Amino acid sequence: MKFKPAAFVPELLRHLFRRPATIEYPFKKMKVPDDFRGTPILKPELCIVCRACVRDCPAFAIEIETLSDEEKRYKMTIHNDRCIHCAQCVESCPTKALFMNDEFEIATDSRLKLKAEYTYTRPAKKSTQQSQNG
Amino acid sequence: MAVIKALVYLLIYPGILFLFVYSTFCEWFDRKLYARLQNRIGPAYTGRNGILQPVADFLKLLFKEDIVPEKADRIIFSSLPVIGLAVVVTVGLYLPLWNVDVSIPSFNSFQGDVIVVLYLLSLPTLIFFLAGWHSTNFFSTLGGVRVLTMLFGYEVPLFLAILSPAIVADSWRLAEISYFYQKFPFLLLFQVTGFFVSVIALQAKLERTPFDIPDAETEIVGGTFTEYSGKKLAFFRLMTDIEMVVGSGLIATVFMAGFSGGIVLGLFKFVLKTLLVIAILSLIRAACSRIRVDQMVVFSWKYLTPLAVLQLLISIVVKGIIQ
Repeated sequence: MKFKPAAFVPELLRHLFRRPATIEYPFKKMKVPDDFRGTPILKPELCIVCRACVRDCPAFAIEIETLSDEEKRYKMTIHNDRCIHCAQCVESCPTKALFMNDEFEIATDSRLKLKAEYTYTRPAKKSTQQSQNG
Repeated sequence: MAVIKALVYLLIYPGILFLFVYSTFCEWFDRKLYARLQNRIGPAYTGRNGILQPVADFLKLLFKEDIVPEKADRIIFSSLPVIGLAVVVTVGLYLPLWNVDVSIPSFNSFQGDVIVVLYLLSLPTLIFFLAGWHSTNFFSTLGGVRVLTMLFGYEVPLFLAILSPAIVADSWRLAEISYFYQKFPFLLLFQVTGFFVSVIALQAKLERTPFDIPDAETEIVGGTFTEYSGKKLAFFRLMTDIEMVVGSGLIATVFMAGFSGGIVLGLFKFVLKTLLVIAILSLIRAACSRIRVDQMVVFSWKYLTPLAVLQLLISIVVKGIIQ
Protein backbone atom coordinates (compact mmCIF):
# COMPACT_ATOMS: atom_id res chain seq x y z
CA MET A 1 0.00 0.00 0.00
CA LYS A 2 1.49 3.32 -1.10
CA PHE A 3 0.55 5.40 1.92
CA LYS A 4 3.05 7.97 3.11
CA PRO A 5 1.17 9.99 5.70
CA ALA A 6 4.26 11.55 7.24
CA ALA A 7 5.37 13.20 3.98
CA PHE A 8 3.58 16.46 4.79
CA VAL A 9 4.36 16.63 8.49
CA PRO A 10 7.51 18.84 8.28
CA GLU A 11 5.65 21.28 6.04
CA LEU A 12 2.67 21.31 8.42
CA LEU A 13 4.86 21.98 11.43
CA ARG A 14 6.59 24.80 9.55
CA HIS A 15 3.20 26.45 9.07
CA LEU A 16 2.77 26.70 12.83
CA PHE A 17 5.50 29.32 13.02
CA ARG A 18 4.54 31.18 9.88
CA ARG A 19 2.12 34.04 9.40
CA PRO A 20 -1.26 32.69 8.20
CA ALA A 21 -1.86 32.98 4.47
CA THR A 22 -5.47 34.04 5.05
CA ILE A 23 -6.86 37.20 6.66
CA GLU A 24 -9.90 37.91 8.84
CA TYR A 25 -11.85 38.77 5.73
CA PRO A 26 -14.92 40.81 6.65
CA PHE A 27 -12.90 42.85 9.12
CA LYS A 28 -9.67 43.19 7.18
CA LYS A 29 -9.63 43.36 3.41
CA MET A 30 -6.91 42.59 0.98
CA LYS A 31 -5.75 45.30 -1.44
CA VAL A 32 -7.16 44.67 -4.88
CA PRO A 33 -4.83 44.62 -7.92
CA ASP A 34 -4.11 47.97 -9.58
CA ASP A 35 -6.08 47.26 -12.76
CA PHE A 36 -9.03 45.70 -10.91
CA ARG A 37 -12.33 46.28 -12.71
CA GLY A 38 -14.96 47.11 -10.12
CA THR A 39 -18.00 49.33 -10.66
CA PRO A 40 -17.91 51.85 -13.55
CA ILE A 41 -18.12 55.41 -12.23
CA LEU A 42 -18.69 58.59 -14.25
CA LYS A 43 -16.96 61.91 -13.72
CA PRO A 44 -19.79 64.12 -15.06
CA GLU A 45 -17.63 67.22 -15.51
CA LEU A 46 -15.55 65.42 -18.17
CA CYS A 47 -18.36 63.79 -20.16
CA ILE A 48 -18.95 65.28 -23.60
CA VAL A 49 -21.98 63.05 -24.33
CA CYS A 50 -20.40 61.43 -27.38
CA ARG A 51 -22.28 58.22 -26.52
CA ALA A 52 -19.31 56.03 -27.37
CA CYS A 53 -19.80 54.13 -24.13
CA VAL A 54 -23.48 53.51 -24.88
CA ARG A 55 -22.61 52.22 -28.35
CA ASP A 56 -19.73 50.01 -27.23
CA CYS A 57 -21.18 48.50 -24.08
CA PRO A 58 -21.72 44.78 -24.88
CA ALA A 59 -24.21 44.40 -22.02
CA PHE A 60 -26.27 47.53 -22.82
CA ALA A 61 -25.63 48.69 -19.27
CA ILE A 62 -25.25 52.41 -20.01
CA GLU A 63 -28.06 54.73 -21.08
CA ILE A 64 -27.92 58.45 -21.77
CA GLU A 65 -31.15 60.42 -21.73
CA THR A 66 -31.48 63.96 -23.00
CA LEU A 67 -33.28 66.06 -20.42
CA SER A 68 -33.05 69.40 -22.18
CA ASP A 69 -31.36 70.17 -25.49
CA GLU A 70 -31.13 73.92 -24.90
CA GLU A 71 -29.54 73.67 -21.47
CA LYS A 72 -27.49 70.65 -22.60
CA ARG A 73 -28.65 68.67 -19.60
CA TYR A 74 -28.26 64.91 -19.77
CA LYS A 75 -28.85 61.95 -17.52
CA MET A 76 -26.56 58.93 -17.64
CA THR A 77 -27.77 55.69 -16.01
CA ILE A 78 -25.22 52.96 -15.35
CA HIS A 79 -26.95 49.63 -14.67
CA ASN A 80 -24.37 47.83 -12.57
CA ASP A 81 -26.61 44.76 -12.43
CA ARG A 82 -26.24 44.34 -16.18
CA CYS A 83 -22.58 45.35 -16.24
CA ILE A 84 -20.16 42.55 -17.04
CA HIS A 85 -17.17 44.60 -15.80
CA CYS A 86 -15.29 44.38 -19.08
CA ALA A 87 -14.22 48.06 -18.85
CA GLN A 88 -14.93 48.58 -22.56
CA CYS A 89 -16.60 51.91 -21.67
CA VAL A 90 -13.41 53.08 -20.00
CA GLU A 91 -11.44 52.14 -23.11
CA SER A 92 -13.90 53.85 -25.43
CA CYS A 93 -14.30 57.12 -23.55
CA PRO A 94 -12.31 59.80 -25.40
CA THR A 95 -12.16 62.15 -22.40
CA LYS A 96 -11.46 59.53 -19.69
CA ALA A 97 -14.71 60.46 -17.97
CA LEU A 98 -15.34 56.84 -16.92
CA PHE A 99 -13.24 54.74 -14.59
CA MET A 100 -13.62 51.48 -12.69
CA ASN A 101 -13.35 51.71 -8.90
CA ASP A 102 -11.98 49.17 -6.39
CA GLU A 103 -15.36 48.07 -5.06
CA PHE A 104 -15.77 44.28 -5.12
CA GLU A 105 -18.54 43.70 -2.56
CA ILE A 106 -21.47 44.85 -4.68
CA ALA A 107 -23.99 42.20 -3.66
CA THR A 108 -27.37 43.63 -2.59
CA ASP A 109 -30.86 42.33 -2.01
CA SER A 110 -32.33 44.22 -4.96
CA ARG A 111 -30.93 44.80 -8.42
CA LEU A 112 -32.52 48.26 -8.45
CA LYS A 113 -30.03 49.36 -5.81
CA LEU A 114 -27.24 48.71 -8.29
CA LYS A 115 -28.46 51.46 -10.62
CA ALA A 116 -26.39 54.67 -10.57
CA GLU A 117 -27.78 57.89 -12.11
CA TYR A 118 -25.85 61.01 -13.00
CA THR A 119 -27.61 64.22 -14.04
CA TYR A 120 -25.27 66.83 -15.43
CA THR A 121 -24.84 69.68 -17.86
CA ARG A 122 -22.43 69.09 -20.69
CA PRO A 123 -19.44 71.39 -20.29
CA ALA A 124 -18.88 73.88 -23.07
CA LYS A 125 -15.83 71.98 -24.09
CA LYS A 126 -16.65 71.61 -27.76
CA SER A 127 -16.75 75.31 -28.29
CA THR A 128 -13.43 75.88 -26.55
CA GLN A 129 -11.94 73.07 -28.57
CA GLN A 130 -13.35 74.55 -31.71
CA SER A 131 -11.96 77.96 -30.86
CA GLN A 132 -8.60 76.41 -30.08
CA ASN A 133 -8.66 74.50 -33.34
CA GLY A 134 -9.95 77.42 -35.28
CA MET B 1 -24.22 15.48 52.21
CA ALA B 2 -23.31 12.40 50.20
CA VAL B 3 -26.18 13.12 47.83
CA ILE B 4 -24.97 16.68 47.26
CA LYS B 5 -21.46 15.40 46.71
CA ALA B 6 -22.69 12.84 44.20
CA LEU B 7 -24.76 15.50 42.44
CA VAL B 8 -21.74 17.78 42.23
CA TYR B 9 -19.72 14.92 40.76
CA LEU B 10 -22.41 14.11 38.23
CA LEU B 11 -23.50 17.57 37.20
CA ILE B 12 -20.51 19.84 37.70
CA TYR B 13 -17.10 18.22 38.07
CA PRO B 14 -16.14 15.90 36.42
CA GLY B 15 -19.69 15.45 35.19
CA ILE B 16 -21.60 17.06 32.40
CA LEU B 17 -20.85 20.77 32.94
CA PHE B 18 -17.09 20.32 33.11
CA LEU B 19 -17.15 17.95 30.16
CA PHE B 20 -19.26 20.38 28.12
CA VAL B 21 -16.96 23.32 28.83
CA TYR B 22 -13.78 21.35 28.37
CA SER B 23 -14.93 19.50 25.24
CA THR B 24 -15.92 22.76 23.54
CA PHE B 25 -12.52 24.14 24.50
CA CYS B 26 -10.90 21.02 23.04
CA GLU B 27 -12.87 21.39 19.83
CA TRP B 28 -11.68 24.99 19.59
CA PHE B 29 -8.10 23.87 20.25
CA ASP B 30 -8.38 21.16 17.63
CA ARG B 31 -9.88 23.47 15.03
CA LYS B 32 -7.40 26.24 15.73
CA LEU B 33 -4.40 23.94 15.58
CA TYR B 34 -5.76 22.23 12.47
CA ALA B 35 -6.17 25.64 10.82
CA ARG B 36 -2.69 26.80 11.80
CA LEU B 37 -1.18 23.57 10.48
CA GLN B 38 -2.91 24.33 7.18
CA ASN B 39 -1.68 27.94 7.21
CA ARG B 40 -5.12 29.35 7.99
CA ILE B 41 -6.41 31.42 10.92
CA GLY B 42 -9.25 29.22 12.14
CA PRO B 43 -12.09 30.43 14.37
CA ALA B 44 -11.41 34.08 15.14
CA TYR B 45 -14.62 35.98 15.74
CA THR B 46 -16.69 34.62 18.66
CA GLY B 47 -14.97 35.34 21.92
CA ARG B 48 -11.27 35.95 22.27
CA ASN B 49 -9.54 34.26 19.31
CA GLY B 50 -12.80 32.48 18.55
CA ILE B 51 -12.69 30.44 21.75
CA LEU B 52 -16.50 30.46 22.03
CA GLN B 53 -17.06 29.33 18.43
CA PRO B 54 -17.91 25.68 19.33
CA VAL B 55 -20.42 26.93 21.94
CA ALA B 56 -21.90 29.29 19.36
CA ASP B 57 -22.16 26.44 16.83
CA PHE B 58 -23.85 24.27 19.46
CA LEU B 59 -26.37 26.98 20.37
CA LYS B 60 -27.03 27.74 16.71
CA LEU B 61 -27.82 24.08 16.04
CA LEU B 62 -30.12 23.98 19.08
CA PHE B 63 -32.31 26.69 17.55
CA LYS B 64 -32.41 25.17 14.08
CA GLU B 65 -35.37 23.26 12.72
CA ASP B 66 -35.46 19.66 13.83
CA ILE B 67 -36.64 17.24 11.16
CA VAL B 68 -37.47 13.56 11.64
CA PRO B 69 -37.82 11.55 8.42
CA GLU B 70 -41.32 10.29 7.76
CA LYS B 71 -40.35 6.63 7.50
CA ALA B 72 -37.87 6.68 10.39
CA ASP B 73 -38.64 5.11 13.74
CA ARG B 74 -39.40 8.27 15.66
CA ILE B 75 -38.55 7.06 19.17
CA ILE B 76 -35.22 5.42 18.33
CA PHE B 77 -34.24 8.19 15.94
CA SER B 78 -34.81 10.85 18.62
CA SER B 79 -33.42 8.96 21.59
CA LEU B 80 -30.11 7.89 20.02
CA PRO B 81 -28.31 11.25 20.39
CA VAL B 82 -29.32 11.49 24.06
CA ILE B 83 -28.26 7.92 24.80
CA GLY B 84 -24.95 8.50 23.06
CA LEU B 85 -24.33 11.67 25.03
CA ALA B 86 -25.19 9.88 28.28
CA VAL B 87 -22.80 7.04 27.43
CA VAL B 88 -19.79 9.24 26.78
CA VAL B 89 -20.50 11.44 29.82
CA THR B 90 -20.61 8.27 31.92
CA VAL B 91 -17.13 7.39 30.66
CA GLY B 92 -16.00 10.76 32.03
CA LEU B 93 -16.98 9.62 35.52
CA TYR B 94 -14.70 6.58 35.40
CA LEU B 95 -11.54 8.50 34.56
CA PRO B 96 -9.45 8.88 37.74
CA LEU B 97 -9.73 12.61 37.35
CA TRP B 98 -9.92 13.89 40.90
CA ASN B 99 -7.70 12.35 43.52
CA VAL B 100 -9.08 8.82 43.74
CA ASP B 101 -7.62 7.04 46.72
CA VAL B 102 -6.10 3.87 45.29
CA SER B 103 -6.76 1.89 48.48
CA ILE B 104 -10.53 2.51 48.50
CA PRO B 105 -12.65 1.09 45.65
CA SER B 106 -15.70 3.25 44.98
CA PHE B 107 -18.57 3.50 42.52
CA ASN B 108 -16.31 5.03 39.92
CA SER B 109 -13.08 3.20 40.60
CA PHE B 110 -13.02 -0.58 40.93
CA GLN B 111 -11.21 -3.59 39.55
CA GLY B 112 -12.19 -3.86 35.89
CA ASP B 113 -13.21 -0.27 35.25
CA VAL B 114 -10.78 -0.13 32.30
CA ILE B 115 -12.92 -2.79 30.61
CA VAL B 116 -16.08 -0.86 31.43
CA VAL B 117 -14.58 2.29 29.93
CA LEU B 118 -13.47 0.47 26.77
CA TYR B 119 -16.92 -1.07 26.30
CA LEU B 120 -18.69 2.22 26.98
CA LEU B 121 -16.39 3.79 24.38
CA SER B 122 -17.44 1.22 21.79
CA LEU B 123 -21.13 1.98 22.36
CA PRO B 124 -21.02 5.29 20.40
CA THR B 125 -20.01 3.28 17.34
CA LEU B 126 -23.10 1.12 17.73
CA ILE B 127 -25.16 4.27 18.21
CA PHE B 128 -23.77 5.74 15.01
CA PHE B 129 -24.69 2.52 13.20
CA LEU B 130 -28.22 2.54 14.62
CA ALA B 131 -28.57 6.23 13.78
CA GLY B 132 -27.58 5.53 10.20
CA TRP B 133 -29.80 2.47 9.96
CA HIS B 134 -32.90 4.11 11.43
CA SER B 135 -32.63 7.18 9.24
CA THR B 136 -33.95 5.00 6.36
CA ASN B 137 -31.85 7.00 3.97
CA PHE B 138 -29.56 5.37 1.45
CA PHE B 139 -26.57 7.52 2.41
CA SER B 140 -27.18 7.04 6.13
CA THR B 141 -27.47 3.27 5.74
CA LEU B 142 -24.23 3.20 3.77
CA GLY B 143 -22.59 5.30 6.49
CA GLY B 144 -23.90 2.97 9.18
CA VAL B 145 -22.51 -0.07 7.36
CA ARG B 146 -19.16 1.65 7.03
CA VAL B 147 -19.20 2.44 10.76
CA LEU B 148 -19.53 -1.25 11.55
CA THR B 149 -16.92 -2.28 8.94
CA MET B 150 -14.46 0.12 10.51
CA LEU B 151 -15.33 -1.09 14.01
CA PHE B 152 -13.89 -4.51 13.17
CA GLY B 153 -10.70 -2.80 12.03
CA TYR B 154 -9.76 -0.56 14.92
CA GLU B 155 -11.44 -2.09 17.97
CA VAL B 156 -9.06 -5.06 18.36
CA PRO B 157 -5.82 -3.02 18.22
CA LEU B 158 -7.33 -0.42 20.57
CA PHE B 159 -8.27 -3.06 23.16
CA LEU B 160 -4.90 -4.81 22.90
CA ALA B 161 -2.97 -1.54 23.11
CA ILE B 162 -4.93 -0.21 26.09
CA LEU B 163 -4.77 -3.50 27.98
CA SER B 164 -1.01 -4.05 27.68
CA PRO B 165 -0.09 -1.34 30.25
CA ALA B 166 -2.68 -2.93 32.50
CA ILE B 167 -0.87 -6.26 32.19
CA VAL B 168 2.41 -4.69 33.31
CA ALA B 169 0.69 -2.87 36.16
CA ASP B 170 -1.07 -6.10 37.14
CA SER B 171 -4.40 -4.36 37.62
CA TRP B 172 -7.66 -3.79 35.76
CA ARG B 173 -8.33 -0.56 37.61
CA LEU B 174 -7.49 2.78 35.98
CA ALA B 175 -6.50 4.48 39.23
CA GLU B 176 -4.11 1.64 40.09
CA ILE B 177 -2.61 1.56 36.59
CA SER B 178 -1.84 5.27 36.69
CA TYR B 179 -0.56 4.95 40.28
CA PHE B 180 1.75 2.13 39.19
CA TYR B 181 3.25 4.24 36.40
CA GLN B 182 3.64 7.21 38.73
CA LYS B 183 5.88 4.96 40.84
CA PHE B 184 7.77 3.50 37.87
CA PRO B 185 7.65 6.12 35.09
CA PHE B 186 10.51 4.53 33.11
CA LEU B 187 8.28 1.52 32.38
CA LEU B 188 6.20 3.82 30.14
CA LEU B 189 9.08 3.78 27.65
CA PHE B 190 8.11 0.21 26.79
CA GLN B 191 4.57 1.32 25.97
CA VAL B 192 5.39 3.79 23.18
CA THR B 193 4.18 1.46 20.41
CA GLY B 194 0.91 0.89 22.21
CA PHE B 195 0.49 4.63 22.69
CA PHE B 196 0.71 5.32 18.98
CA VAL B 197 -1.50 2.37 18.09
CA SER B 198 -4.17 3.55 20.49
CA VAL B 199 -3.95 7.16 19.26
CA ILE B 200 -4.49 5.99 15.67
CA ALA B 201 -7.33 3.72 16.79
CA LEU B 202 -8.88 6.62 18.69
CA GLN B 203 -8.66 8.71 15.53
CA ALA B 204 -10.59 5.96 13.74
CA LYS B 205 -13.10 5.71 16.58
CA LEU B 206 -13.74 9.46 16.42
CA GLU B 207 -14.18 9.18 12.64
CA ARG B 208 -11.73 11.94 11.87
CA THR B 209 -9.56 12.18 8.75
CA PRO B 210 -8.10 9.83 7.43
CA PHE B 211 -10.82 7.60 8.89
CA ASP B 212 -13.82 9.87 8.27
CA ILE B 213 -15.16 7.20 5.94
CA PRO B 214 -18.67 6.87 7.52
CA ASP B 215 -19.49 10.58 7.20
CA ALA B 216 -17.55 11.33 4.02
CA GLU B 217 -19.36 14.43 2.74
CA THR B 218 -17.92 14.17 -0.74
CA GLU B 219 -19.06 10.59 -1.27
CA ILE B 220 -22.12 9.86 0.84
CA VAL B 221 -23.33 13.39 1.69
CA GLY B 222 -23.18 13.25 5.49
CA GLY B 223 -23.17 9.50 5.99
CA THR B 224 -24.65 8.61 9.33
CA PHE B 225 -25.75 12.18 10.02
CA THR B 226 -27.45 12.88 6.68
CA GLU B 227 -30.95 13.00 8.16
CA TYR B 228 -29.99 14.55 11.47
CA SER B 229 -30.53 18.24 12.04
CA GLY B 230 -31.12 20.77 14.79
CA LYS B 231 -30.93 19.62 18.42
CA LYS B 232 -30.15 16.02 17.56
CA LEU B 233 -27.20 16.93 15.39
CA ALA B 234 -26.00 19.32 18.12
CA PHE B 235 -26.10 16.46 20.62
CA PHE B 236 -24.24 14.18 18.23
CA ARG B 237 -21.54 16.79 17.72
CA LEU B 238 -21.24 17.38 21.45
CA MET B 239 -21.07 13.61 21.89
CA THR B 240 -18.16 13.35 19.45
CA ASP B 241 -16.37 16.19 21.25
CA ILE B 242 -16.82 14.59 24.67
CA GLU B 243 -15.78 11.24 23.21
CA MET B 244 -12.58 12.92 22.02
CA VAL B 245 -11.96 14.28 25.53
CA VAL B 246 -12.65 11.03 27.36
CA GLY B 247 -10.80 8.96 24.77
CA SER B 248 -7.70 11.09 25.07
CA GLY B 249 -8.26 11.11 28.84
CA LEU B 250 -8.21 7.30 28.82
CA ILE B 251 -4.99 7.27 26.79
CA ALA B 252 -3.47 9.85 29.14
CA THR B 253 -4.48 7.74 32.16
CA VAL B 254 -3.07 4.52 30.80
CA PHE B 255 0.00 5.70 28.89
CA MET B 256 0.94 8.97 30.60
CA ALA B 257 0.72 8.05 34.29
CA GLY B 258 -2.62 9.70 35.01
CA PHE B 259 -3.45 12.84 36.91
CA SER B 260 -2.03 12.74 40.41
CA GLY B 261 -1.89 15.54 42.97
CA GLY B 262 -5.37 16.56 44.05
CA ILE B 263 -8.08 18.52 42.27
CA VAL B 264 -6.13 21.55 41.05
CA LEU B 265 -2.86 19.88 40.03
CA GLY B 266 -4.77 16.84 38.76
CA LEU B 267 -6.96 19.03 36.58
CA PHE B 268 -3.89 20.85 35.29
CA LYS B 269 -2.23 17.54 34.38
CA PHE B 270 -5.47 16.31 32.80
CA VAL B 271 -5.70 19.40 30.59
CA LEU B 272 -2.03 19.23 29.63
CA LYS B 273 -2.02 15.54 28.79
CA THR B 274 -5.32 15.44 26.93
CA LEU B 275 -4.31 18.50 24.91
CA LEU B 276 -1.10 16.71 23.96
CA VAL B 277 -3.08 13.71 22.71
CA ILE B 278 -5.52 15.99 20.88
CA ALA B 279 -2.59 17.81 19.27
CA ILE B 280 -1.33 14.49 17.89
CA LEU B 281 -4.86 13.73 16.66
CA SER B 282 -4.98 17.12 14.91
CA LEU B 283 -1.60 16.52 13.32
CA ILE B 284 -2.82 13.19 11.94
CA ARG B 285 -5.97 14.91 10.69
CA ALA B 286 -3.97 17.60 8.93
CA ALA B 287 -1.39 15.23 7.46
CA CYS B 288 -3.71 12.68 5.90
CA SER B 289 -6.52 12.58 3.40
CA ARG B 290 -9.40 10.13 3.57
CA ILE B 291 -8.67 6.50 2.71
CA ARG B 292 -11.13 3.95 1.43
CA VAL B 293 -12.89 1.63 3.85
CA ASP B 294 -11.09 -1.45 2.50
CA GLN B 295 -7.73 0.32 2.81
CA MET B 296 -8.63 1.19 6.39
CA VAL B 297 -9.43 -2.41 7.30
CA VAL B 298 -6.29 -3.67 5.54
CA PHE B 299 -4.22 -1.03 7.36
CA SER B 300 -5.66 -2.04 10.74
CA TRP B 301 -5.15 -5.75 10.28
CA LYS B 302 -1.80 -5.57 8.48
CA TYR B 303 -0.05 -2.91 10.55
CA LEU B 304 -2.05 -1.80 13.59
CA THR B 305 -3.00 -5.20 15.02
CA PRO B 306 0.49 -6.76 14.63
CA LEU B 307 1.94 -3.69 16.34
CA ALA B 308 -0.56 -4.06 19.17
CA VAL B 309 0.30 -7.76 19.50
CA LEU B 310 4.00 -6.83 19.53
CA GLN B 311 3.20 -4.36 22.32
CA LEU B 312 1.43 -7.15 24.20
CA LEU B 313 4.53 -9.37 23.84
CA ILE B 314 6.80 -6.55 25.05
CA SER B 315 4.50 -6.03 28.04
CA ILE B 316 4.56 -9.72 28.94
CA VAL B 317 8.37 -9.83 28.68
CA VAL B 318 8.70 -6.65 30.77
CA LYS B 319 6.38 -8.07 33.37
CA GLY B 320 8.42 -11.29 33.50
CA ILE B 321 11.62 -9.29 34.03
CA ILE B 322 10.29 -6.99 36.76
CA GLN B 323 8.82 -9.90 38.66
